[in-house]
Amino acid sequence: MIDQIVSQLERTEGVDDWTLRRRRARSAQLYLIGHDVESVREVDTEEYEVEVFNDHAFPKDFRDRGGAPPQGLARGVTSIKLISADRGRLQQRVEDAVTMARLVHNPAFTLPEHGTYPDVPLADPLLATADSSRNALDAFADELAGYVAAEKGVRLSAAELFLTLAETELRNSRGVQVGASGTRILAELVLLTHGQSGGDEAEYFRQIEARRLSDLRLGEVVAESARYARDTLRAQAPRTRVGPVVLSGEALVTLFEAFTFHASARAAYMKLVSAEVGQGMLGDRALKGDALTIRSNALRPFALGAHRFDGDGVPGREVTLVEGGVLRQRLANSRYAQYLGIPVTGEAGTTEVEPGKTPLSELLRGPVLHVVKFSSPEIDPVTGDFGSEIRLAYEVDGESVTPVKGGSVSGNVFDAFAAARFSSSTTYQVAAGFSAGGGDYFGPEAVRFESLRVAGE
Amino acid sequence: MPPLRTDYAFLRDVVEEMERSLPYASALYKSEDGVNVNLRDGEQGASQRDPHAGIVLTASNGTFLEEEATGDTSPDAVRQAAARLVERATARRERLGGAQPLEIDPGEPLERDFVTPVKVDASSQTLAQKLERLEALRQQLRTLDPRIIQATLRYSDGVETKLFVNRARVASEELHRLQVFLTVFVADGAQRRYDWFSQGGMGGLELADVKRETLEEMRDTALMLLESKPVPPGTYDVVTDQSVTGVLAHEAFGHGVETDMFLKDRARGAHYVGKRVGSNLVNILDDPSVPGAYGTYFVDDEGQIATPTQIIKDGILQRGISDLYSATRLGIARSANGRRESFERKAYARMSNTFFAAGSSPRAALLESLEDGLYLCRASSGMEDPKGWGIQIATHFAREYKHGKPTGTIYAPIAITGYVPELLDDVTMVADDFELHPGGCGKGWKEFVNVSDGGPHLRTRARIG
Repeated sequence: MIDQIVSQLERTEGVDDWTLRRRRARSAQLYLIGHDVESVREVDTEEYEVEVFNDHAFPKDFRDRGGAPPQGLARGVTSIKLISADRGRLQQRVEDAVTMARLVHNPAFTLPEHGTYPDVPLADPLLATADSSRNALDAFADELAGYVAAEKGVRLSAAELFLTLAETELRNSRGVQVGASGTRILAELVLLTHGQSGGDEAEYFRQIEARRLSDLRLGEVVAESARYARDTLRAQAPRTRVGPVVLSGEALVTLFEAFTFHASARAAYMKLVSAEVGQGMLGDRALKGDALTIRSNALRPFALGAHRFDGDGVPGREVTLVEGGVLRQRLANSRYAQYLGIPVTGEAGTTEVEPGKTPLSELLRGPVLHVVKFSSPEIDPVTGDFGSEIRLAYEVDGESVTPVKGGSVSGNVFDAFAAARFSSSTTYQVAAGFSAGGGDYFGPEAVRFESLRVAGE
Repeated sequence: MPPLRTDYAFLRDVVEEMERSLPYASALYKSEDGVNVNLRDGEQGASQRDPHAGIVLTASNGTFLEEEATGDTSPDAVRQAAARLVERATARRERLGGAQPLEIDPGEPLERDFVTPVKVDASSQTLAQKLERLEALRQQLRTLDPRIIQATLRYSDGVETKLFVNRARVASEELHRLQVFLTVFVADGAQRRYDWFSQGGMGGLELADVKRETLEEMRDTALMLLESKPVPPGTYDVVTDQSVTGVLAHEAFGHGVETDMFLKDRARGAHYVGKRVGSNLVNILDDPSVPGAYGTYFVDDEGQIATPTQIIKDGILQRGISDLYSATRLGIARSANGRRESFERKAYARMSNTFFAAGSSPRAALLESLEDGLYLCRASSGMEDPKGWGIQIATHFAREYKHGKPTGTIYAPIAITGYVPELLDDVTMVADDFELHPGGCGKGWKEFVNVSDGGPHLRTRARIG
């Protein structure tokens, strides 16, 4: 079907450029309630996303983002998805797309040309066939049962496992033709634990994502989740105060979203951010801790944010966005790089943050609140304000470590990072709700902030 | 008879064929099509909505449900998928040997076709007409004040079609859904603030009309937020606006009573059916049959006809909302809440339109009753904790009230946390107003479906940070 679509695009009047993305995926899914199977599913999909570009005159009353009459031709763009049912009506679908593209007006930009694409590994060979995926589902269920059985006072509430093998191909009218094969694994685990009297129960929910089965680290994840479930059961409410807080793991990662947003070319073009390249990311706040260095890396092997090429066909690469707290380069896809007259970096990869020099044990010198899980990490990327309910944290004071839950931690990212210290130890995290790049992070295991608001008892 | 019924008439044969080898089978065709528009300063975008058309075949192997889903909806491809499903489900049935038998009731015989009533069909206007109308709306907002630096508009209209077939039922529906989402950004030096407005539901272009007063309120709120300050953490008497009330209903006793969570022992609510969980002013419902609401449908993805479910009545928990599997396993009556993100995903017990029922107090009386408290406005997100009965709701801002009057102090942002039964037990006033807000809902961090939530203004007490 792909050649038919290309042929249709090439012969349709008004298609001045095009990009075609084909994705063929086969997914095997397992759902457990306790250790019993609730459902097993297999899903087979093939779809084609087509972007159609049409160049035409701007309407007389159109104004650019500065309010001035625009120069040159307008570029209209629209995207459509084609599925197998469209095979007999490709001409109509593409002509409809041209009609849509003629009606929308944007400053001109060109599409990328074929580049040199990195050979970044993205696929687990253990999931190469439908049969191997089915076997992996069964093996997962068995392994999980074994790991949970080894944990005292803990049982499995539910689990889900999705194994997806996807082949993608991208072509455009400027000669790009590139493909990649990747696997993606998503697992959800819910562990339950009960008190000694058998009355109260607590749960711990964990979502893990990876490209390789071995990267799920199932044994470690079950052990950690079991410990957290047990601690949740005896957790009390935190004290209300303004003071030092250490965030670690998935409780930490989402905070970096404000920096990646402020470093993005799209946000700059929309005038939603004020920091310019060469300026500090924290405005005029005095730095009293470690300076921030952030990279976007599309080349980390088997990372979720890794890619050979982005959605426009730009080769994946590693880019330093922020160095020593200063914005060095904007993350710019092909379109917004041209709009702002800056280098193309391609779309975001894994968010990488430079670790600090302080051991985690030093960061946890109390009294300090150490948050390991928020209910739903919430950050406003425009303002940098954040505030989330504590699902599990620890009040650390000398030798005393007391689990707490409930209440919230809030603050402003830009204020908080003015007085922050990063751990020397690092972690790779795929954090639920973290929307930058591939949703994954490599960087300090923990960061200590000296002054955050804690709402509790 | 709608074309869908004739185009996919072969699904009855496919189901019949599967049931020759297996105790239960069903088929669901699901598709979605429509237009998205994005407008902002100097940029415009129009695209077709993700068309997600496909068929999912469901079969019981006698112990649990197995499924095969395909994006190729041709009869040959579907018959091949059915053959694969029968082969693996039959093999597993032999291995399982009837452990934990699953007896599925296909429901009373039924043949129905449903269509959303629409005043102004979205397809009656060309894209050019829609763009002109929407850009005029965006410009109206953009030019309200020189401190506005950006105004964005997102619009979507679409038609979702569904055909469910099992041995007893054939039901089709055609849903026309539309949403407009406006955001205004203001600047004061390096500081940026914003406000948003969302409107949508089942219907046509009549839902795209936004009043000028609404746009002016967005401008005023965004400018007001430039002067906002962090809220001192603590526990406050509060009045929730309708959006915050809605998120409270959704997170507290929406997710908390999804009966698949009962089956997994993840919901404390399972042990409280018939017991008090809030003050006697608390009434919460889930109702997929609300006319025109964003989460409305006629038949769920497992063939159950939409009817309201009273979850809490006068503070007493009545029942949960169910999908087919959990209702069957729990031996309870089904509600019409078996929903899928798309044909590619499994059905779970999911909400539709979830809300507090209106009370009898005038809204002004709630605010005037605040001796020293907060008026919580514009919910932006929430997160459930069905096992621990904790809750998190983020709101855009709060207005400080003293002696029943606003002081002019604005706090932002706001994080509400607390223990659900305490929050509901502290409900002392329920207003006589009512509003539903469109939104999306995930199960954990995935499986997104369209929903709405809302209700009246409430007076309660909450921990704020």
